[in-house]
Amino acid sequence: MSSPALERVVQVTPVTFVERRPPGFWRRFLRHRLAFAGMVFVVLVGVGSLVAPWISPYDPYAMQLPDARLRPSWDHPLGTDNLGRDILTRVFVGGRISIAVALAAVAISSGLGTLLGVAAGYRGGWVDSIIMRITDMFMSIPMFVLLIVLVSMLGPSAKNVILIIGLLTWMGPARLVRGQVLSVVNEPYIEAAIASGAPPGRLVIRHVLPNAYVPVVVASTLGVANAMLSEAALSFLGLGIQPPTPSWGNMLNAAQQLQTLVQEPWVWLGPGAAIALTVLSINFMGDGLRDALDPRARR
Amino acid sequence: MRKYLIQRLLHSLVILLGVSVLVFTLVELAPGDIVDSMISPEMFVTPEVKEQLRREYGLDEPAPIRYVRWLGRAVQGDFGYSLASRRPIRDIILDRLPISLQLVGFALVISVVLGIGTGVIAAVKQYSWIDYLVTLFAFSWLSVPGFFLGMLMIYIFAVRLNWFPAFGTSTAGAENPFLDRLHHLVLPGVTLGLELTAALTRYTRSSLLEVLHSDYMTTARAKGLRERVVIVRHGLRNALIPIITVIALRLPYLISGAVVIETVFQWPGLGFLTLTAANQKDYPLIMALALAVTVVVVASSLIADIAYSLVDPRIRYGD
Amino acid sequence: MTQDHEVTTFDRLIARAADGSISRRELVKRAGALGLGAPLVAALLNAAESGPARAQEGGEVTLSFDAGATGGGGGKPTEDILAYCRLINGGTQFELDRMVDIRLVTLSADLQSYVGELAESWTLDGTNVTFKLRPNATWHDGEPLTASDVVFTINLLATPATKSRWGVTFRSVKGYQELQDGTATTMSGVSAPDDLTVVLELTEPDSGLLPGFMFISILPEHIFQGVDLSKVCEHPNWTQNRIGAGPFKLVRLLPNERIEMEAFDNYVLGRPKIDKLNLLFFQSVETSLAAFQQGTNLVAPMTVLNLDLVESLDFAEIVTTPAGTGAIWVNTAHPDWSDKRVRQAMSYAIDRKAICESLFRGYADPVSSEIPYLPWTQPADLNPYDYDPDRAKALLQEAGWKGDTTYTLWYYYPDRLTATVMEAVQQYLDAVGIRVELRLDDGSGVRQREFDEGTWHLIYGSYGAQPAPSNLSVIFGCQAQSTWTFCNPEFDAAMEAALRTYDQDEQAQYYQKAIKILNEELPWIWLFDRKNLIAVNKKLNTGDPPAFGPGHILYANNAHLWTVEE
Repeated sequence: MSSPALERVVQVTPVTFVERRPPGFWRRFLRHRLAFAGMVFVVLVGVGSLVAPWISPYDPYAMQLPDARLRPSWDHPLGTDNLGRDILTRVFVGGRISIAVALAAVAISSGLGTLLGVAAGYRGGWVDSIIMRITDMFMSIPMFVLLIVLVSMLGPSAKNVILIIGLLTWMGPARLVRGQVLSVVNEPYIEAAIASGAPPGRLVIRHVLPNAYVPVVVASTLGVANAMLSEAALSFLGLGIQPPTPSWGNMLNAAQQLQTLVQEPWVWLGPGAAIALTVLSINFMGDGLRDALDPRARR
Repeated sequence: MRKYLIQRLLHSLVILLGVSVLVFTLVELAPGDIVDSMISPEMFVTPEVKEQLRREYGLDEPAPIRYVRWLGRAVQGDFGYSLASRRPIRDIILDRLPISLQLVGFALVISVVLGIGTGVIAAVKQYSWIDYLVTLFAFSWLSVPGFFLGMLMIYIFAVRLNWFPAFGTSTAGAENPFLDRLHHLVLPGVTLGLELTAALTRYTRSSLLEVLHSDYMTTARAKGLRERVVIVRHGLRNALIPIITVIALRLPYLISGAVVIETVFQWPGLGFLTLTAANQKDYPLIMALALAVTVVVVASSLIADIAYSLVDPRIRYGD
Repeated sequence: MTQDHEVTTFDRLIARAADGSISRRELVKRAGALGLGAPLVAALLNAAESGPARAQEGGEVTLSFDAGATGGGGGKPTEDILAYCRLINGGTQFELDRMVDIRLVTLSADLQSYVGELAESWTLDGTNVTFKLRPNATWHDGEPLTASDVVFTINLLATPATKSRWGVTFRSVKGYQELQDGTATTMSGVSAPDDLTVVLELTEPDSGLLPGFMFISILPEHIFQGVDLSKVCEHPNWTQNRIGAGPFKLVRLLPNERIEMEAFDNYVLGRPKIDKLNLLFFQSVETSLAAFQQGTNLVAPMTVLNLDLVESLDFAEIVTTPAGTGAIWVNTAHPDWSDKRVRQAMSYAIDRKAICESLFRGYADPVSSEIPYLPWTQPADLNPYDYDPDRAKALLQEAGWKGDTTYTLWYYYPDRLTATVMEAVQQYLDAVGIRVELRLDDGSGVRQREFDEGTWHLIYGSYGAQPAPSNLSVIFGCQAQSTWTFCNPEFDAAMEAALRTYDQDEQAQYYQKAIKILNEELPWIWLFDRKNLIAVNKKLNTGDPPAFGPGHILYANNAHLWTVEE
């Protein structure tokens, strides 16, 4: 391994897993009150986003110019935007998109990371060193700089944002999985299985992955939070999800308007709180998962 | 040790080379070029004129040739000219680098002081209300988008309270340029540093907790040393080792954050320049910037490793 | 049209202004019609007013570059502010040019005509154009500015090697063709009989010549003498020791931050009243406004999205100037759009009035043809295309519109207001069966390539406001058909006729005919006449009417007369 410092840090963050999911996982997770609250919130937001557009009497897209820029009222709890659309409805619809983008991006990064991590750890040798060199390379470029350059080149769209965030964040999962795979592969029973000529594909699926997925789950959970923040930051720079499609990022972007920031807080309060609380909840969940999954952290 | 250093250096070079190939390839794949972006939508220029401009900028040669040529010069510190401003890129970067370093340095100092300070307090008073408060704040800073925080900062501390300037690095005709710069640094510096502060708080806390519960601390306490001495002399010193590394390794995040924060606060550093260059499709500048920033990151991780090997005798090399 | 001996008339006007029988604004307007420099008028007016000056002289003024608030291409607040050589494309540094450079003529304060800056007077007589320069003009480095600098500038711009965007201004000057062919190095039709006289001989009358001079900074011959014309943009004069003859001298430029300038003592219209002038670059309108609220910059371009905020500031007032029309450009060469009934249907389908009222909050007027801000060019019988979706559907049906394709509607202004307007337009079109997808041109060149190749469909864009109707030919004339796709011989004939007369009444008659044709044929779907909104701190007095220009030319006039309260 090239960077002992980095290795050390990865160990300092207490995500060293030895066992499969330890017994009593749920009990311990639920005892982490903040994590539990976070999970409840995330579930509520998720369900709300899925259901609200059907419940809301308003169309999140169709303009209604006579109703433009209304202040909050019973009819429109968060007021209306410049085109007269109900902001609360759009917050929920935006939640669908923001969450979907973050999940899709993380699915890509976790998938790619797992694949590369398994390949590096299981194969070892030159495969390992090439993959790890590439990992180092990607980790050395400030992610957001590359993100900006890429999005401005490919053009901002949901698809591109997902792809680019996904393709630029696989390094963490890859390192984690590789570490796990290495520790599993050295177990005597795996060595025995390899020696007895068991097919490598099945070996990986049967024995290696089940041991490696736990840290990936934790990393992915936190990855979702980071992807959300990345999407918001891209939207701020005008490189994120493009209107009319609402996302929390581009709705929060309205607060860039000084007048909106100062005089019309209801416009940004919804998406702002949604992002902050969701990210916070996910972070808590990650923390809880970590505690629940890692026996060492139970002190 | 020397062998390790050489190995580590070579490794860094390989990374830089890889990054250069990566960046060049990306730029190659991008649609449009500087000639397209130079021409404003309200003008109409014949395709022949555009072709001529492309020839003038040397954009008509095959990619590998341009890569080798570019790399050969880049090694000598010559990144060519920015297509948009026609100034030597080295000059532009050298102009901007100090401005960015001031911001990043200021943010770094703030977060180290605040982060380690609150982390120690939280660890020492584990599970007290102060611990929860610190943890809550740390999590909160990590959850609010930086640009949004920046805008709130501008609104509260610049527009409303008028304590600090809202943007820029200096005031025309300031009497004391140093104090003026410091005055301008506060808002962007603090905003940029908050994320690292939060991260450091958490690392310090968990790292110190780990150390505090270790056997030699118990031994130290058993020797009858006062708790404060124990914590500072034995605990913090050992806990600091990984924290130093965290700082070095968090640098890419800090630089990434600087892109957004510099944009919000109009801080004319490298981050701001990156966004402009990307928007203008100023490819030579983009390549040089990506490489320059990567050099900073690689160098800092190299330094971190060396520092690490010096302070932590447990690390063995050559494996 | 001559203004040589109008001073007596002017004296009478001043007297009437003093006794209050005509308003100050009216006075300035009439004086402008006489061809008198608004600066001169204001100077005389101030002199005519009794009592002490209202604001003391001296002080420092800080302005904000147009950070895109006006929806113009101007004010890219970037590294390249000086490097975009204005000889080639101008645009990005109008604000700086206005302050540092001098022109023969500038816009009048009411924006309807031209007034002299370096030129004291001029005569337009058939194929003879003569400019009389003001005496004692000097460059910032102390060298005298004479007619030979003007001749030098004109020849330099017209030389093809310079690749100047403005060279075509002189197309009707004798010797222009020879210069283009390379058989001559200067134009035979440009001469300086003495230090204060510039004579242009034309091949035919050209009423587009004078407006063109508004954009042309006079260059110092002693600096540019002998430079390689193909590299003239790389001359250090643009970036370092900028030598102009305008009211302010460049002191220093901090990329992405600000330009510092100081008063030029020997400015030909009199030393500026303020001592220092700073132009600040802002990446966004919002930062600019925040700084405006702090009192840093005294002027901040803005949009209606911040209207309530600025109206709530007691130290601020909002000034408006014409920004130009917003329109959907249509590729009339494409079979889907070649039927004018389809274009008329689009025009009926969009509720301009609602857009102007709700989105622009009244700071735009619905229009259906070009240059509406020049009332004398507008015929009385324009079809307003009032909102009528049923009519639109009927027209589409008549034209056999299939509606089975989604077309790309490009737009290139990245601001939030434009994005909102585009969304509204998209929905209006959708309602009558024209489906479009919106796409913001991020400068990647995709749109430009579509445009070059003629594969584009619809583009939302703006024709920046400028008081030169003759420029319409550049887009709608048959000469531009290969790019802009429109060609109508009757339109061309009317435009040509207007170009060949200096009489405004006659011009009006021809321009009205041309405008009516555009209104009927709709090569563009005109939507609204936008206004620039500019927040101005009341500490700054820029004269009456406030001297802010149309379109991208934000700081148009009279910077040397501005005063500021400390």
